[in-house]
Amino acid sequence: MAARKHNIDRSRESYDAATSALKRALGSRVRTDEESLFRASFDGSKLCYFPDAVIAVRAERDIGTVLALANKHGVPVTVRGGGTSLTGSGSPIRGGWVLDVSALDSIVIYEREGMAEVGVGAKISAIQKAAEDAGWYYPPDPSSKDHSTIGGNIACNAGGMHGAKYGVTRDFVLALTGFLPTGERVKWGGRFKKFACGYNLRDLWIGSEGTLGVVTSAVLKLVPKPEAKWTLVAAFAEEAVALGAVQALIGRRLLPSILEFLDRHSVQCAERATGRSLFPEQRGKPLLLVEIDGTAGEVAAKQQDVLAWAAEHAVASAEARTSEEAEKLWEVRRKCSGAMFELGDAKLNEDVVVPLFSQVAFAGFLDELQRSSRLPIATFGHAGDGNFHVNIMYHRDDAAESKRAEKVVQRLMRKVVALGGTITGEHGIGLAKTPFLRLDRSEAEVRAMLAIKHALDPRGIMNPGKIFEVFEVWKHRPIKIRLPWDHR
Amino acid sequence: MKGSLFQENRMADQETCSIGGDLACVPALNARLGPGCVLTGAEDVIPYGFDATAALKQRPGAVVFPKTTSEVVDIVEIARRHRTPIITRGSGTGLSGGSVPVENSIVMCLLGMNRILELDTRNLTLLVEAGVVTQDIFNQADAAGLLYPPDPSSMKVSTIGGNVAENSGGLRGLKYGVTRDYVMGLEVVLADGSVCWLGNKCVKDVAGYNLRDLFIGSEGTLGIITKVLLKLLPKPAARRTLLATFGRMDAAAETVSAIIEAKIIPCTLEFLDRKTIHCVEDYARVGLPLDAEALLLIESDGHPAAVEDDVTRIAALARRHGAIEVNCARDAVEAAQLATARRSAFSALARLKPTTILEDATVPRSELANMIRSIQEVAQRHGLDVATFGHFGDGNLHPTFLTNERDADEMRRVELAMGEIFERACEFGGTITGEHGVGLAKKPFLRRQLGNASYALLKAIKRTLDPDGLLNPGKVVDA
Repeated sequence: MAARKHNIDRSRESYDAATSALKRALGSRVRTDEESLFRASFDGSKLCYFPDAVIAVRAERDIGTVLALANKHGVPVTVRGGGTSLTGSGSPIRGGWVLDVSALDSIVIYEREGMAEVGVGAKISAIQKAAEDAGWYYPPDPSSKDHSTIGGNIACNAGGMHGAKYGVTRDFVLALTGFLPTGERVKWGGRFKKFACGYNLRDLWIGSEGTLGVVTSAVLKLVPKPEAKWTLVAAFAEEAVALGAVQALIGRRLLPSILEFLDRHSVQCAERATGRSLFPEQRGKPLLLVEIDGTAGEVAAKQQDVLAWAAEHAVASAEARTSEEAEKLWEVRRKCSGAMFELGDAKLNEDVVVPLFSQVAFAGFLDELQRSSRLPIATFGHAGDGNFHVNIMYHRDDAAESKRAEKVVQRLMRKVVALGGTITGEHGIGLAKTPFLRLDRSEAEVRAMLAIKHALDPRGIMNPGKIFEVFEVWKHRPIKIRLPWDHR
Repeated sequence: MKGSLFQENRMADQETCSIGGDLACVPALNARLGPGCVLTGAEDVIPYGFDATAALKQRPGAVVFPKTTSEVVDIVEIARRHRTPIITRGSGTGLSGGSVPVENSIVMCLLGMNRILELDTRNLTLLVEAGVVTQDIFNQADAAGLLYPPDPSSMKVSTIGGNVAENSGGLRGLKYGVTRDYVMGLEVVLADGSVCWLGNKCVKDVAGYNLRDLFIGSEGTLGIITKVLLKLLPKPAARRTLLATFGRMDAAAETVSAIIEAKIIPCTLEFLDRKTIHCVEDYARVGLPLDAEALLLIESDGHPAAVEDDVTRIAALARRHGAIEVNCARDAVEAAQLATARRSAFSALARLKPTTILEDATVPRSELANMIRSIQEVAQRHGLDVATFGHFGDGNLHPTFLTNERDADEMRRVELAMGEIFERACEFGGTITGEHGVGLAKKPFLRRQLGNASYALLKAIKRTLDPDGLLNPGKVVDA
């Protein structure tokens, strides 16, 4: 990742005086060189806005110092972990200071209690590994897990493939320590599971996208590592059949640990990317990936149930008996996203949710949407919790296509809300979903959110411009850069 | 702790309380709800002047029984116009004084809003009004082959609105979590009279701030919960109940740690001390061993293969850690008897003395034995009678003082002892309340628990959402 010359927006306020004061307080931890500023200027959305300074936080108290100064001078502060957010929630759109907390990456496993105490910069995959070494398991696994930090996962309430059975990040956070926007240190909860002590600010912080404070450490709940796993992939005649089969599987009360859906576009992209097909006789058919976990006896019993289900609904299926075999099946899921850029050079990547039993109706809607918009729309996602990644592909320089893509997003969002769903299941609002917040949330609710924002952050310094102010992402050009977690 | 909670609130009893009919807003309430839905007579309102918390009472000015959300909205409007506080209540089983009224207030009793609106057996959700009794929710789910796990001991009487307002726990908390974990959506009437629907039937939702979880556990101080959308689970196919008897309390605590350390998560891991065992046996006659110092009631549920495996391993662990005896319930009837016996612990203890003060200290599991020793030491030093039971798996203890509120000296000692017990819970890295909430009873200890910055923030949030201080004033924090 090399720094290049970028146009820095000089029309906005200058924080030079404040930044000088910051340098006097924290010395070399404050970086203002071009390379450091560039690296902190964008997230996974690749929307790039230069900050005025980056603070490489070394100790928790640095954060208190930064926030006190930021409040005094009214400087925007954006917290940054792995920078993998897909919505622009990590892009410092108003400039100011970026708090890089990735060095706070301690991990302590409380083996006897099934809990972990982690620094906010700890990577998800590192937490999972430490837990598994002790026989425990931390289930939330966003696909960015090798790069994203627990702080970012908490800020965005990240999900992942295990949501249907195990829940999302929120369900594993027992306690949080951190700083209020005003620079005061606070702690919500502790190394115990029940906490009914005053208002629940812990859950208000979770998912607030860095707009209500800075988390420095968390106590996480761990669950016993499942003894056995078994994976099946099944192909279906069409999308509606596959999603109908999801309902049938849920009706059997099997509660798979993973239930992933890929539509034909996604499967075809993966087939082109890997040069092979899981079912040569049934190329390009929509797929479901099913994983069962639990004790060996439980998995053996449920396995029979799943096979009977596949025989009834699928046109083909294959099971994995070893982890190597399972890995092969999972390749298709991992490769599909990057391969989509064959369908267009620009992607509007949504992560809408519909109730489980509205999925078939939703598949019909997506079909119609593709036909009427004449744009390729590749959809995959977590069918076990109705969370779909809808990828609208278009060519940025084709004005007509761009216009149609924008219309598609508008219709998509209206539809999911009409189906009783929500506009974002795991990515958050950030910048990219701001035009749709009020579609999903009532005026009274948004008013209450804003009142709370004001109560916690009276000077409005924390991650300004996010969630509430409308930003039309399709009018902004992302920078061209290859990120370590990009698939292609 | 300075100030005397009990003295203060007892002083405010009957004599000093004005008669309800004086409330200026009563005619407007009558006009809107019809006179049958508004109580103002001195005798009529007395039952709404207290909850299940010992020694706290205050007669309200009026009691209203809305039947719809729009009636709730209108009551809020009327109360706003007359600047009259509203105290929302269900069945009044709260144990922290969360629904004890203030003088000249309106008690809004939601027991009339008791409709089950929609059981969605496909998406596994249940939409109910706030006044539905928790047991009815469990039964509805059960009849459809589903499970609503949160099971506070009061569930036969308590309402879901109260459970959500206090974030109630229960016996299944260890594996299944608490009320919060099953709330997917809420309809809330805010202090300005606007109605918010928070949440949906989706498992995942990250659009904007999570206000739903802010209202859960806010004890009626931030808004009035009128409808609740609950998540249900497939009913576990198998369930087994074990009873392990110990000659030493430490052995019981060690067994609990060993079970968790072995990565077994039973759905229930309940503890009863000697005094509780005796009281419960005397009350329920289910054959509990009277020579035991401690008793663990353990329930495992799930897939039959997994449950069998768990039960065998748990029994072996209990024996290895010094259990005198480990018995498995023979059948569902016997298992239900044991669970009912545990659920009756509070009622059983309440028969011994005129006043029962049930506390709710929670500590990390590793500190359980230390915490129980501290409780016993503190009680002894103050010459008090205490029995302890609780949710060992969650570290959530219910030290229960058996006392008499008419004995001013004893009550003073109870209060001192409670303060010391909370102090010890905090020192052990725990909390003053795991599932009962702060209400009035734990208010004096809240700042110590949270620290100044968090405490100030709670006040700021209260002022933000209820600027006129109309909703359950004086609970949790003073704005």
